Amino acid sequence: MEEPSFSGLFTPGELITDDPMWMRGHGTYTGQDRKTYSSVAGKLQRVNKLLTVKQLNGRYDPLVGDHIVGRITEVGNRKWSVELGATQDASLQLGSVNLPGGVLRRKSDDDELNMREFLKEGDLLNAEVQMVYQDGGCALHTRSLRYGKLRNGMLCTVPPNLILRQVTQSHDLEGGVEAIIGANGYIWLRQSQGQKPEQQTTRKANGLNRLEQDSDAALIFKDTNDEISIQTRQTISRYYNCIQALADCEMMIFGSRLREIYEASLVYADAAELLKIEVKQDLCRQLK
Amino acid sequence: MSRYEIYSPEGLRVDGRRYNELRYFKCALGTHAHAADGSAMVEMGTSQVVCTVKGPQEPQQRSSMDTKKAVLRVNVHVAPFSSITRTKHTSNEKQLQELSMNLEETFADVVLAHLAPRTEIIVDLHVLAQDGNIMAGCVNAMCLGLIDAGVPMLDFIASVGVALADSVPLLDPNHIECSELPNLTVGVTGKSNKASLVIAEKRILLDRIKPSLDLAIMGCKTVHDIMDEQVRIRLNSLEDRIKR
Repeated sequence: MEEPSFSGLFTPGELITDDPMWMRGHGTYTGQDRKTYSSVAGKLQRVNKLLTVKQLNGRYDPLVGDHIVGRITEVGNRKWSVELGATQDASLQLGSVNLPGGVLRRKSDDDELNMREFLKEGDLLNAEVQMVYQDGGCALHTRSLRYGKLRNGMLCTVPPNLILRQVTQSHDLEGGVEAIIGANGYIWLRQSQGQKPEQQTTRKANGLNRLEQDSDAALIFKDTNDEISIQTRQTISRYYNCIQALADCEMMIFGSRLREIYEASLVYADAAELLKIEVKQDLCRQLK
Repeated sequence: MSRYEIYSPEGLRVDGRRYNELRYFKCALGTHAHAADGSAMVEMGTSQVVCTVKGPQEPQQRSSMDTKKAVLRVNVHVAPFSSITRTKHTSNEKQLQELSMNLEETFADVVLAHLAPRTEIIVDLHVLAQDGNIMAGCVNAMCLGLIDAGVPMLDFIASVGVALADSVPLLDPNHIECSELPNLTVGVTGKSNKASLVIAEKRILLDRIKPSLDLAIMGCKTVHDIMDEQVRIRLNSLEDRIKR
């Protein structure tokens, strides 16, 4: 009986172990000879007796609690479909969003008819993964003031395996820009909001009046952009180019690194210069 | 009578190889990392095939959805500049449709499609240069593309062509040998001797199939080893960047 090597990399069809005591998880299969083989190219992981091979590339694999950025593709029966770069579109139930009128509001039939007024096809939103189904689909929720419709900015997509999962995925950056780094590789860059959602929630906890709460929630579904100055627009595109530079050089992306590369990029006065491959490589070399 | 001496009495072929020698085989994974979920490039001699894989993803058309398994769709594109004479190929050409159907059927055996129900996997194969058997190049490129995209598979499929010069099988025929001789395309699953794909477009004597298959299987194993090595190189580079 051969002990599987836990540091090793496996390719499809490679024998992992011939010992029947191990349980087979994702990325493995049993051959006709009752031995365990790998079905994807990746790294072997073990939890007690469960063997899984984790692939290092490919589409986003949702995990419960992930903060993601997605796009509405369909308005359906009491739920929205959200495209987030996973194998299947996620579902966002009408019951798992905060509608204007406070957290405790009951969902009426009217709400069901007006779903398109809250979120329509093509809208971008940030949400949290609430539940993952076995076949790769997942359910989302936006039951916090941190989540909701996104505006005042632009979307930047990178391969999901370049995102480093951190405790906070939204970062206030230099230059009046805020970045929401979705675990699915979708990054939203927007103009900083005057007040942070954290402050709003604490104020609410202190028992502020209901009207204010309502206006906060109404803001979540607001469709129009604020006036954004040319300067902020340029800063946002500079961050966009910085992120693309990191992706092109296959560097992991996280908040403090964004700050670092932005600092370094200020040497180039024009953000468009960051599109040159030499400049990208030069910036990424500085980070190491 | 041919203008070329396909197989000389000394045992040399048109391009100077022996009967059992492969052409230079080069492959890479993740060549178009920003354009698709998985990508690969394969060069067999001077033929070149690029593969991009999108998926498993939400089907673009509801009608093409299967609630039990992922749907594999293969599109083959042949570049107009890929052969000696410039010719425009359209994707609805009968030959290309047959090729993509063969590829779909071959990979249906190894791809574990039931793990991603209600999704589709779109494989785009671009033949950039054709020198001989394009089927073999397409199979190898598609295999690496699927692996790079993280699609679960039972095993690799490595493929190589064989041409028959009278009774002598010639491994990995080039353009000249392919047009002069009857040839076979063979695909082998992993390290086994199991041929998952055998295609002959011309008639071949029954007793000559056995030696050709033996030679092809040997060639496929060599191709498999080269591809496996490249997958590991790709894995190592992916793993390295997590440390960066």
